[in-house]
Amino acid sequence: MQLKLTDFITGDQKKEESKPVRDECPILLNEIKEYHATLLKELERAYEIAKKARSKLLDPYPNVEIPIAKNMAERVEKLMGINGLAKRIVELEEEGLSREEICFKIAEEIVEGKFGKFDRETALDKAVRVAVAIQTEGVVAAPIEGIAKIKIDKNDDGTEFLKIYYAGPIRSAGGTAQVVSVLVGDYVRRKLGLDRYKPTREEILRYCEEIPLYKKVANLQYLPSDAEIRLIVENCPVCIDGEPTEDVEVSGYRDLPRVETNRVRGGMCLVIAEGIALKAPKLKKMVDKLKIDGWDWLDKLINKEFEQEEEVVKFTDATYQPKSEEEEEVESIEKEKEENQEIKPKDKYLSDIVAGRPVFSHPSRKGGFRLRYGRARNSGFATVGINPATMVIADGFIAIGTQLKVERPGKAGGVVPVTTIEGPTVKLKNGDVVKINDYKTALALKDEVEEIIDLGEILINYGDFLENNHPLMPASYCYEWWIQEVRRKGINGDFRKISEDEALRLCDEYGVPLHPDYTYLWHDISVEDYFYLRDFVSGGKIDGKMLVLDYDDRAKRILEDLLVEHKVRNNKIVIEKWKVLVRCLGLTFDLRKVDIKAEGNILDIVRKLSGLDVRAKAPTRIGARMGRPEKAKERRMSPPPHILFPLGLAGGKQRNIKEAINCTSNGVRGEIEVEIALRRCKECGKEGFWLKCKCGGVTEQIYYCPRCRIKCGSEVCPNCKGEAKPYLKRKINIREFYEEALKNLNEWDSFDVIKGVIGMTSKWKIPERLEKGILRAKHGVFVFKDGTIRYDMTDLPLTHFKPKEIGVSVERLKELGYRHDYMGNELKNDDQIVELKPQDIVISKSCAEYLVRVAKFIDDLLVKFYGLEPYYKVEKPEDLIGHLVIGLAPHTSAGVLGRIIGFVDMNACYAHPYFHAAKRRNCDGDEDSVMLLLDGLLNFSRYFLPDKRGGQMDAPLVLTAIVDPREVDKEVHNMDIVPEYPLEFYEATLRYADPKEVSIRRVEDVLPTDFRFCCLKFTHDTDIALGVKESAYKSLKTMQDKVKAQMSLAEKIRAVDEHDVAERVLTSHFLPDIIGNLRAFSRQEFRCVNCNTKYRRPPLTGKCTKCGGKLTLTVHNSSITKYLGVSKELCERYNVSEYTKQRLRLIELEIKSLFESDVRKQVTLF
Amino acid sequence: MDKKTIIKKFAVYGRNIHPLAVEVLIKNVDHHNLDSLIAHICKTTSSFVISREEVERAIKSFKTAPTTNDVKNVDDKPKQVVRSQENVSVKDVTGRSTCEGGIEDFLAYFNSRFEKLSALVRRRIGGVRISSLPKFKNEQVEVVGMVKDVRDYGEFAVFDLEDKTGVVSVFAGEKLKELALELLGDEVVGVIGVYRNGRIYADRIIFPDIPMRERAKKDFGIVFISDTHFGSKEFLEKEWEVFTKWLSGEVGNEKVVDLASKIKYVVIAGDIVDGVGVYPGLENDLTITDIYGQYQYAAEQLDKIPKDVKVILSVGNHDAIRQAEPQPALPKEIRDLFSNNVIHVGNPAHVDLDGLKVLIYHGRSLDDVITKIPRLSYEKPHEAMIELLKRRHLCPIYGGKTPIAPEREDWLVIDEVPDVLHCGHVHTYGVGFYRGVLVVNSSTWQAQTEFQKKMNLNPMPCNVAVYYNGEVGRLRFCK
Repeated sequence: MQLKLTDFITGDQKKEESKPVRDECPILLNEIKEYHATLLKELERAYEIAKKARSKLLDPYPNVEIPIAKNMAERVEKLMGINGLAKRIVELEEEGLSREEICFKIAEEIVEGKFGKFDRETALDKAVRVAVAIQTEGVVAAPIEGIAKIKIDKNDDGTEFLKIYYAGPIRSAGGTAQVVSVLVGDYVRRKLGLDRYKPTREEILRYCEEIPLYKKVANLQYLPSDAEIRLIVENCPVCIDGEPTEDVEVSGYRDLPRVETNRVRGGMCLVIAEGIALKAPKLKKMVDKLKIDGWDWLDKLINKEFEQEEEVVKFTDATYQPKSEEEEEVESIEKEKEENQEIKPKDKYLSDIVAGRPVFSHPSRKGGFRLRYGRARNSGFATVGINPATMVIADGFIAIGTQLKVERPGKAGGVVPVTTIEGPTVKLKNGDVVKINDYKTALALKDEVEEIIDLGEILINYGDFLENNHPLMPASYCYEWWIQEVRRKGINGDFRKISEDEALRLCDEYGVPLHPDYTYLWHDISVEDYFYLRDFVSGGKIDGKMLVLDYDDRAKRILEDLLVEHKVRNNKIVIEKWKVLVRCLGLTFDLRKVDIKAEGNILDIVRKLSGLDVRAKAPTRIGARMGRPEKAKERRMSPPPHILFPLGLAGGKQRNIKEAINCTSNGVRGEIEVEIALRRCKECGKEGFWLKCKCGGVTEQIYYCPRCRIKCGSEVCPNCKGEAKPYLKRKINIREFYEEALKNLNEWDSFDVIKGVIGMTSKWKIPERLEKGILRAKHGVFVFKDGTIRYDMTDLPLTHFKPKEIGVSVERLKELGYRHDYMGNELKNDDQIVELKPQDIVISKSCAEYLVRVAKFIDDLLVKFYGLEPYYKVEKPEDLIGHLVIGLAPHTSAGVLGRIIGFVDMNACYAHPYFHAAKRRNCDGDEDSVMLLLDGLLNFSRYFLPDKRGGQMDAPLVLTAIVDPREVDKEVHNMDIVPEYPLEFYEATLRYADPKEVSIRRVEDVLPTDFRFCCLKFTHDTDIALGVKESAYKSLKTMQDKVKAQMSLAEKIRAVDEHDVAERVLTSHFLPDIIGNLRAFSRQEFRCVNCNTKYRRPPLTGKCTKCGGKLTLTVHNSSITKYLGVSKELCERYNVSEYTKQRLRLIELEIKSLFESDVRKQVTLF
Repeated sequence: MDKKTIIKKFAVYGRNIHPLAVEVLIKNVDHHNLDSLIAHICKTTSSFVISREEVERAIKSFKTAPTTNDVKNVDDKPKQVVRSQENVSVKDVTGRSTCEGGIEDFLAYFNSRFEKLSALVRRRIGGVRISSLPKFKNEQVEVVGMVKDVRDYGEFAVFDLEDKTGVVSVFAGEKLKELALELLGDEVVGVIGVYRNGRIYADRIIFPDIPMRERAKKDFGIVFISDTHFGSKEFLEKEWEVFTKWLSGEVGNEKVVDLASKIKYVVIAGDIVDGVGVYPGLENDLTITDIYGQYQYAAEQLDKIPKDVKVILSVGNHDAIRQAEPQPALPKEIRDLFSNNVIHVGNPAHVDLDGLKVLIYHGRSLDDVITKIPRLSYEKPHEAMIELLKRRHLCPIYGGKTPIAPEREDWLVIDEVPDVLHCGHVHTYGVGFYRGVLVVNSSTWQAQTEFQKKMNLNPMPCNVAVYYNGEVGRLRFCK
């Protein structure tokens, strides 16, 4: 194999003629080229080793099973298995066709027979799948798993129409690819002369019943109204059908002749609700561009015209008069006006609140997070930046990587620490009010905090507003904005930290606005309060350097609202920095009132009386609550196996091989009966289940027909023409295999537990060699269903780092190809800022420790099992630096090559946004996995993958070697990459501008050039590793403790209404949980404690009919009552609505009635 | 049967049993008779802690008693758990719940179901134990068992039949296939067929069913209503007003006014209020969100019924009581809101009204039955109720929509054949006679809700069934 860089990065180096931009630095471009070459070289080295190992026939397949895909076209071809596809896609790309156009073109060519002759249904099937594959970059499993089948059915009038059966994994395709599949279906069915789908009335109503039902049992981002569903189903020319995915059945429209199931079809619901209904505008754009007719109804969907129709229906029996056109026009204009002027608080993020995960701020409330714009070097791409001090002060609930559900612009974001934004303002137990801007002070003061007056700033980048299409919200007045106004006046210099006098001097001499550090939150107090405070301060005293006021509750409260730092000493309020305050209150420095009249809103008054240009410090507050906690943990199945080897029940509850080898059956020790692959040695004819026979010969697959009870050479039984199975349930002697494996490895039998599995779920049921399990047990690592060892971490973005932050020396970095810092200067010190290469990752410390064990396992495997040289030779985490990994996200089937360059003590993984986007992830709190490259190449096999829907997901079916930002998830193209946002941007935010109106350079702008790989910039510096490492949610063990901590925090934060929190926790978590378990209790299944057989109803004998074991409940009393106590406490302590209290009381009554015997009570009384 | 279960079974009778005595019981007893034996022991002994000797003595006397007696025993037992008030006596679970939520409770529950129902089937056919079937190769056999897992194998319908000794597959072909496919899953039936290749090829499937009987005739009237849903926004207040006025003799033609004067009882089959927290978002569909307020209002509305008419009030899934069946009557604090002419009963409840036996059951299981048997529909709820009578069980499907409380005794078995079976829940109206038993589903006083509209459920509100002298009439109080 020879990997050439030019194969991987195709296209436009030649037509390169871009205008130089000042940020671009050609030296870094060279580094990137070398970097890519290094990656390929190292990949090739590992690949060669793996090939050699695999050729020894010790695995299910004699070659490496992760092909390397050069680009999107190859990934699609490898995923779909159609020859010549990649070549054709590249040709079309070079012709300049867009992604969508290529989808349609290829689909058309498939049905025309250009890629081979297929029957009609197969051709349609392939066309639709390929379109989805292209649309999803060939990364996700949706094209294979998300479409179950495609069928041609008949309308009532005898014409034929196309039916697409979607399955659950279509979710991973995303809305756009989903609608493309429908559209392509429509396009190709015309080519084959099929008619459109004409639904019956019952079928339409079935959709109306089924989709809301799905929303109830599963999850839908958006639930279309009945009118929307009706419009879509009536008009969509392709029938959107699906496999049953849920257990629940519809109750109204059952047994329809053309609908094969009464169960809920999840895939169908997703495509209609999150696909067509939600992406109608995008679909419309595509339809227009490609000029496909018959989709005019999309206009109705987009303009919500059906709502009016419904209104007419509603009023037919009353006196309803349609509005005249004029009236309607006036109305719509007024509506628009409203929308523009005011953006209302949104409380959607609070709707599915979880107990123990606190609310940090109610929607848009005073004291909540203040919006600051910018992208730190570790933020952007669906993250929120927070000062590490805020993490500490919020009782440690927010850690690096914790997900925050936010009010806007999107739904959620991963938390990253940003030290250059403001931290919280708190009231201490002694009454002092302090701003805490750094982590250390926060740690020192955290136990003294009585109240959190303000949570501090939250950093969100422009790109996230653009991506979510959210109007820009007014920006906090911040240094980045102020300095640009200062520079415009011709003043240069660094004014980050300046004194009060200096701030006032700049204002008075140059007429610049007041420095943001001295800008108080005037807009948060009333005019009345303002004049009250003014009068009150004018009665104070200047004592030395300080302003001393008598203690007054109202005045103190106003000072707190303004976020003016002060102390309380001897029942006096003492203010150290008072000059700007006094000035803003319209007082002279000797506290006399200036004689000026002022009216209007509060800021106008402050400006007039002070003569200063005072800006709004916190015009936008962002509500937030905790979402998922951060994560960094090895992937374990439950129970976690060391090896994929079937033991049946012989392994006991632990599935322990050591237990199985002592099993005695028919007097033979270690004989167990399992379903296992059926292969026969070509040399000696002996039956076995591995590729290589004991005699050294190669085996071949044979099959068994369970009906005719014969063995045969093919999947089709020659006798009955039925399906023959590639495996057979038979007796094997595990003891012999185990002892032989120990001997092969030259290991002592020093293991207590080596865990296998009950049975293999794959089609062939080929097990792993026992040697692998022994070595995994030796090194304490666990295997995943596909044979690999994974480590899961929350995704966080990183574009620049300092060597000292990630535990790597400058020398080592230079060896890895980092020779310059991000400005192009030579790399010398460990605190220079360096731009991260796109495929390099910074892992969590715990991950590094685990991977060291994995690397040792691999080396042992290479030496003792395959008889090769060791590869990793690592002893400590530092030794891992420079080694390659495969990054892989759930729902996808394409791994991405990465390289470890350092680690940080946190529970997350920092990587370039491109790397995450290549895995089709953003950083809003999602997690995915890494595995060592050689582990994947050696141990992954398709022959292990479960033979069921979704089984091919989360498996590295192909590997992306070089990440090209043009072929990653498009969301990252909206990330901004500038060193500062222009003044026009800040001004635009004040008028709630559409983010599209503003021009800030984004990834998309540099895509055509080589500078897409490097020379990105950021606006805020920070320390990427500073902050809380583990959320209190995880460190607190019991739910009681979590809820207690959550409520105590709610009481502490001013922006949170603790009573509302209590109510929401009860109604959206505890009550549904208790009720759900209560209902489940009374219709539960039963389980055998030994063999785990499930019974819908217990056998009358009271014992397991299979093994005679004891039966047990699957829903216990304890799982119902576990939240009862804490729920009652919440009800008592907080102002919870009477309705909720009554619900709880009824539930308690019900629990008592179910779990306390009336008769027993009588007996004990007696 | 384990020791714990036996001890608990004695606890039902308020008795304790000595550990040695338990062992004697386990050794000596054929499980089929255990419940009747325990009843027998409790009847013939008087000490608080039953001793080994007492048990031994009782076993002897039990064995010598004629075998037909066990069947009788099943019918006799209820008498001990009857509450009486004037001419009305009630048998329900109120105050007699034994459920503690352990696995033994579930085992005892299903055993009780099997024992009670198999005794009923055994009146009609004999039967061998399933474990002894291999002795009868290629012979005709009769087996009684609990059904599980009905599946369609094309030519045959196949189901498993289980007793306490084992499980056997039953193949039902030709005409029997259709009948077999209507088996609901947890009922007890008898099968007559040939035992071959480890399976039974069925010739007949026998349900416990009820015997033919004369229609009961009484010279007083009973009104059957259900699902009033007081407190709901959709409660039909005006129609209810007309109804109570009719009962008071204030509206209607001579004939109906005359009928009204004959009414002695009003029976309500549950869902008297709309409740709180029954489904998510219920609070938006309520005019009264306070549960006590709802019952207060209900009490006021029932007060419009003349005081000399007795109101028998059962409960349903919207009421303020446990949802798992059998449900006890409303808690005391709520009962106290109602006037004296209201008699509170559980669900189900066997009620004797001046000698007329009425079995009141809210009807939750009708949802499951109608879903499972395609020929049934919500438009004709009484047909689904007939299926319950045939099976002598009010909820022949376990694990469906109907939650079950695992009581030691299965209160849902129809051990005593009533004169009337009265249900509600499905909000539609249907009346019929089955082997002399009146089956009545008495609709609702709630108009169609948004949810029902979407589910394609069309209620028939304000229909009232009136029973008088063996005949039943229908009164409509809607426009």
